[in-house]
Amino acid sequence: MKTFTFIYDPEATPKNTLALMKKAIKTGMPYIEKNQLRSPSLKALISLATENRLEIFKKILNDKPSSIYELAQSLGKDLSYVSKEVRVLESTGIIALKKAEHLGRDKIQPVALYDRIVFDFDMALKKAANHF
Amino acid sequence: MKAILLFSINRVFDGKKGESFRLFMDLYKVPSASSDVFDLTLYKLSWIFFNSEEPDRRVLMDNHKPIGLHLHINQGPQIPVTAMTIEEAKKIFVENIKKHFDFDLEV
Repeated sequence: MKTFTFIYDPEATPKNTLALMKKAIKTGMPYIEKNQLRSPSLKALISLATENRLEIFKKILNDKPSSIYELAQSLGKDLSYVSKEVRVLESTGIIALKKAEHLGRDKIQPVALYDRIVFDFDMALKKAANHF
Repeated sequence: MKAILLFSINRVFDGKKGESFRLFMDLYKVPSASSDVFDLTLYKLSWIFFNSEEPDRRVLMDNHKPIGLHLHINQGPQIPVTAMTIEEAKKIFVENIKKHFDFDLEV
């Protein structure tokens, strides 16, 4: 099972992110966040991982549509809307858009790269607990 | 020798006007000076900052062969830039994000 995690991390500010890079360069010690998307803003995380987008992701994972058109058809939604949402899912890194041939025609096939999506708020809770 | 991944992050931040922005940064250390580096700093980078809802609105910086260090603004052509150190490259990236998105990566 391959898992992608959306992580709420109040420390993951832009400034701290650049500081982490500087430290990695200075020390030579790798700092690598893989299979995750981290944010200091719960609002930003939620606005990205909307219910509709997760529903589209689930459809891609389970039904393996051969094209965005087929995906839009199975969702009963407008093609331009689904195309836009699929592009956002791709930029998030949880799906890939692969060029595929179907019945002799070139198509773009959305492919799920993960089979489990997790929301992790543990770090925030630990930090909040430290204040008490 | 193969480049070694030194730094890799995937982030989302709030913008000032209710929008959100994504940041991907990959930085590789290149073990040999004879490798495909853009300067003497021995790093290979791929950095991108974009609007979450419109991924084509972006500032992209990388230094792949044979072009060397360059930017792409939105879907525009390659814009060659000059930096002798990774710090200078970062400064150019940060400045362009400020200019095109009114977002400050240093706060």
